[in-house]
Amino acid sequence: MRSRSNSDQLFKRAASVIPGGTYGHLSPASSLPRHFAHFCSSGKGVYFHDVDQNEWMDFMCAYGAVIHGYQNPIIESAIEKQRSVGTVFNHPHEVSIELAEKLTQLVDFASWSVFAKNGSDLTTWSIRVAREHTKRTFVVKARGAYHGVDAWCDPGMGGRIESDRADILEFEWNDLEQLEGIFKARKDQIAAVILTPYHHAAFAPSVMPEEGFWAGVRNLCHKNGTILVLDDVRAGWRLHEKGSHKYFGFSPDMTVYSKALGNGYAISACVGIPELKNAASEVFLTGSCWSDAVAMRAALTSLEICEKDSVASLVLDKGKYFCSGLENLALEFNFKLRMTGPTSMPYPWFDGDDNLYRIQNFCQIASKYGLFFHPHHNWFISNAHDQVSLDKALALARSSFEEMQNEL
Amino acid sequence: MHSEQIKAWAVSRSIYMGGNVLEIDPYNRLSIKPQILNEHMVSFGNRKELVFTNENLLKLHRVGFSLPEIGFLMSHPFQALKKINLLRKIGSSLKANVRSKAYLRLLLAVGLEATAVHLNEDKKCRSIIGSDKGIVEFYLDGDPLPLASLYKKEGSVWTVTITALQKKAKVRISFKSVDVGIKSCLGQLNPQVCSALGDYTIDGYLPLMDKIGYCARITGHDLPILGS
Ligand SMILES: Cc1ncc(COP(=O)(O)O)c(C=O)c1O
Repeated sequence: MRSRSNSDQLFKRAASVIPGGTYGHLSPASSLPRHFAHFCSSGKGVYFHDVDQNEWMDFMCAYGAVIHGYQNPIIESAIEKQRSVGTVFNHPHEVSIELAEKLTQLVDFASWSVFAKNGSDLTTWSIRVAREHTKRTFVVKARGAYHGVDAWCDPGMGGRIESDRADILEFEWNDLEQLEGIFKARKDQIAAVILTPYHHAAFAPSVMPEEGFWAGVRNLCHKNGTILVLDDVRAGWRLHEKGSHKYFGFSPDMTVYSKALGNGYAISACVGIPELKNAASEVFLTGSCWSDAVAMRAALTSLEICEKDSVASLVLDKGKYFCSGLENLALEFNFKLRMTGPTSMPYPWFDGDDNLYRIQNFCQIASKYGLFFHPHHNWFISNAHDQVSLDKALALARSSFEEMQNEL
Repeated sequence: MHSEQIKAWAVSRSIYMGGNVLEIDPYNRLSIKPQILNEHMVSFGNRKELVFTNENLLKLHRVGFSLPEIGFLMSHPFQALKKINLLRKIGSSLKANVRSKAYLRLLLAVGLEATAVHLNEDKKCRSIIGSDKGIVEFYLDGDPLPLASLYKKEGSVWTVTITALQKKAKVRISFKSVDVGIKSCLGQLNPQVCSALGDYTIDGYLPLMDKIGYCARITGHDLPILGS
């Protein structure tokens, strides 16, 4: 086990002034609390350090928020320049227009863009835009999909009242028949269908869309006058340089981005078709620091790099190398590991490990070797991963498999 | 069941579970097995000598003393008094407040029983737990066998046992010490903080433990001491 005295000390300090010490997806309770650190001190490229000076090779990339590696020099220098003139003012900075222009140029169906800070800000706002446009109430989502912290969709249990979800309907991912049934039962009442590009629930293997799924969803929404919202908060820019809808070959009416968009700077964006522009201007949208020019500069620079270097293709390729390497290694030691979902954000799944003991054990062992492998969430590949780091990770993973086999 | 009935039923089931943990002999234990008489009354045992209204059961839980229904009691006063003594014995064991593994097991099993009633009957808990099932085991660190388990089999209801089950648990929680376990049962610890600092460890399918934990806290809110 790696040293963790500073981590624990800081956590105790935190717990006395912060409910639960750390909350949400960063809460230690949801990962490996006695194997992962509780606090980070710095990060560069694919490595980060915790407060006990342990170095970790990262496969979570700030839960997807970092795609070019920590402290990418090009982005950092662009934001330094921005920072030198200020960030939040009484009026937006010109960079907001540049960023909107960039997004509408990149995303083929989009003619407008708005900005906020978090994915949740805009997944919630987007369904209100759909309601405004359609003058309808109901929203359909896939069961188990995460769309943010708001009461209509959060995965927690506290603070909820029945009416929070009275207008939210759910179907099983990939089950077009069920979706069609919902449309029939609620004829002319469904404002929006909101879906992620593929199903990436926590604590479960990822599920890709079946052949014809997206065409079917698109068609049903079209036929019923329902707005199709793509929640690309997690997958955005890791599947395709022009948005994940291109990867799967369909066209939504609105898409929400966040996470990788700002390479670690807080920003989210929603883009949409021209027909929704009026509705978008009717639904109130603002936040204290949402005109943050530094975050917008980070996003603009990040998108420029993504486009110039075809980063989505690169991370998919790097992920493919890593995932097949890991699956083969597992087999060598008689473990049946599947890296599910797209290779740039794979979810590891040992066959037959429905209760997750095996993956927890593997990630615990890997943590001793400095690998930050999460047992319950999809991993993320960044463009800072290179042949050297991936080979090093595979070598350490080999030792982890070996140790796991010896423990049997 | 309505809310008062759920609470009263949870109290009576927990008392019965307490008798189980205290290894009261099977004949006597069976004599206090609770039965729902109607939506307002619970009888301890089949023979209706010891009957409480829901309200009085909740009072019994709150203040440790409450009057049974006299009319029923008069039918077999001797039997009824024997049962009252048993209930007293269980009640005083629950309040013993000793730092022992036996006391931890008693508090845990009794709290789990009340939680199981909520999982089976309370509307909010039922909607939270949904169709989830499986075994949740509670250990004291280093022990080969669980202190108690809460489980649900296909087509059945949530049930508590203090004997080890043969099937693999879906999730396992292990208390670092008797003290941590007792405080946890009494709802005195924050689960996220405990887990982060290693006061207890949870392995396996965490989402099930999250739901059970939340429902246990609802139970604890309804019936302090019985939930956590
Ligand atoms: C698919 C998806 N949608 C929405 C969100 C919410 O984004 P945020 O945490 O920035 O509010 C997330 C965050 O993980 C996500 O993965």
